Amino acid sequence: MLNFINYLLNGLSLGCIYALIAVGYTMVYGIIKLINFAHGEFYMIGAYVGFYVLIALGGGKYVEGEFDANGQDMGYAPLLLAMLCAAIATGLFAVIVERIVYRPLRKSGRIVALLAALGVSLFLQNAGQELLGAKDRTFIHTISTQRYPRWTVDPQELHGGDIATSDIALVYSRPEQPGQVTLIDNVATRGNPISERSLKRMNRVLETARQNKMEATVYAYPPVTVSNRQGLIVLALLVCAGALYLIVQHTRFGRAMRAVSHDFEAAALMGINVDHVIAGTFFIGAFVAGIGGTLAGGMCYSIKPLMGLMPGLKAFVAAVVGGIGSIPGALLGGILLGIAENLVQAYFSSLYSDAFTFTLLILVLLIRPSGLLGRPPSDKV
Amino acid sequence: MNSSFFGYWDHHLIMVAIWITLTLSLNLINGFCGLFSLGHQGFWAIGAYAAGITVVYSNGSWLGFALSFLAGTLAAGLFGFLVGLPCLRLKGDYLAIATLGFGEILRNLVQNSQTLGQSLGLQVPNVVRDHTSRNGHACIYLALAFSVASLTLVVLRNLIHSAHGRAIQAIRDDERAAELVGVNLTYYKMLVFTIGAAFAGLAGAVYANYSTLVTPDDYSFNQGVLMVVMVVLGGMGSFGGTILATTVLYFAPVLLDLWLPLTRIPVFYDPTQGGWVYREVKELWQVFFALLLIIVVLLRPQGIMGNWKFRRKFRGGEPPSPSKPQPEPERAGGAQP
Repeated sequence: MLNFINYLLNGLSLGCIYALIAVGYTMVYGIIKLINFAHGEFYMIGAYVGFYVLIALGGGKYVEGEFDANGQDMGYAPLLLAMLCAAIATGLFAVIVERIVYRPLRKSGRIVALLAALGVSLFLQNAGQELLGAKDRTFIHTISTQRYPRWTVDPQELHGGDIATSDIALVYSRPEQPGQVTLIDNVATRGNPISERSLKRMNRVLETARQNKMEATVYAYPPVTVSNRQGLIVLALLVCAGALYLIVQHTRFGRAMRAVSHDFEAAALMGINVDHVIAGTFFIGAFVAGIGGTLAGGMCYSIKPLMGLMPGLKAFVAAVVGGIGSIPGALLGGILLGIAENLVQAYFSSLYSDAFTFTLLILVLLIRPSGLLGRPPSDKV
Repeated sequence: MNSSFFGYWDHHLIMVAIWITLTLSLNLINGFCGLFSLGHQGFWAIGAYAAGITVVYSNGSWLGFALSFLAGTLAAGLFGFLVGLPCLRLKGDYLAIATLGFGEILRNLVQNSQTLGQSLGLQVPNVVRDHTSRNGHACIYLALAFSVASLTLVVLRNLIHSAHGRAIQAIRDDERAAELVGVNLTYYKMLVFTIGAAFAGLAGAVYANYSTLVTPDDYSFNQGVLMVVMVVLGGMGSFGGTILATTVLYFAPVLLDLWLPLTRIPVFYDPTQGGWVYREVKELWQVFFALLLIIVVLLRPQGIMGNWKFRRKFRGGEPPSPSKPQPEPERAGGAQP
């Protein structure tokens, strides 16, 4: 049961990434009936822009994976700034792509536009491989992983041989970065006896920390914890969802967007500048994907030019599951897909999660093409 | 000539014949019937794996070799039928996505199958090479690959020029009108999907026997996209255009590599890497290819060749049809008209 909750939480953060990508798919589909295959690449661009912004902010020395050596991270502010820059850059990029490629094709068939989207996707993947290098880049270490809830334990109370009632870990923080703590060592795991060796090691580290005027603390964790990274992703999704709700339901632009998606021609006749609305839709969709890209870079520790391919396709599945064209549907579909994938990996097989996802896609398309929250398409002659 | 032909051009000619078989069969589905499939690489893979397994389990005998083509064709055709049953209820881009999903499911299953060699691939015994010389092997496969391509062309051409072909094209032009005049939509869609898949399976069987190694990466999503691009650039519903586009797109990177070997051109300026960054022309082909696709779609949405037919041009067969009223293309933007 406790494991199940942990799988759910992990799935939730994966699902939030899917949801952030799926929003763009669903908005663009809702307004011009185009499956924008290049959307996964927008997410990749977001990750790279975030990466280079972090480098420009002096993140070069905080490479992910090497943080054990110096115990430093960049903190939240650079990450938020990188996310914002990535989102804006990705949004502008999407507007440019829409202007150059999709707008001239708006009067052509849907299949032609789909091909153009495939072309843009291929171009961005390959150009990305040439320009950015095909290899994985290790992401910048922006925030150290913290798990909550937790409470401090007096090191004197731990005795070798006792059965640990909760996970116990040793963390420290540097005086120049108070509040940011780094995990050094797992002292004991829940249900297992505390070994003398790890206690000895713990005491040695505590002693060294005291000599170097560093603050070292022993924390105990309950079986179910939430990490600050997961929290950040969920928070980002909630903020995006709230902002989208406000934009779509309570602004003039949102009203124009709904009008265009309802009836393209009638909206144009009513004096709505359809070009601006579509460009704005691309901007918002890619903006959210850019946030997702930076967050995913931080969560998966590495980025590469082909990183948009699979998450892009899966986010599309999420959009279909939620009902393509519906923004709440995309959010719900993304989260459900992330959780379902995690549960399949945990309880069935980690190898077949892709097959599961696409089987789900085909099933949804066959049984309920309008998805969970979508309106059934009207089929007029 | 002899020494440079064998060992270099023979390989490319065989491969181009296999690709032509694939794109012709895809053109039946995408171009003539208007069913937008992004999963053709899946049928290719099924044909290749079925043929490979047949040869492996017959211990590399001639009988197994001969049967492998039958196995590849039948297996892919059967899968085409099975996939078609549910998927063909969908239309347009939904169908594209469903077939894409099918291709990905297949690749995921193959990658994890012990019998099919997982990601490393299935090693197929090279039956022909065991009994002939290097050049004899090449000649046999050249003959085989081109016979298969010609067979595909003849069968599909005859199908398209029959009454069935008219029905198939009617479905593409206007599905509802075709239904109203009595075209059995389900029957023809299934027919087209099964035949297209079977020929892709045949191409897969030739490829499996020729390359002697079948890996899941040969059948990735991007290969499917490449096939679709060849069909589209050649013009949906044009056999000549498909053959031409496939040949050009297949040989373009080969010729680039041949004419400009190791030529490096500056791609972008990066001060951190000490000035201009150079890349080989061969490496940049994929980027050019994607750009080409975008440009062609923008400038000539009907494909480079469009509906142009060799027959009309050279044999004076059919008179050029008077300006046929084009069906109103479905609007990409906005609601249904």
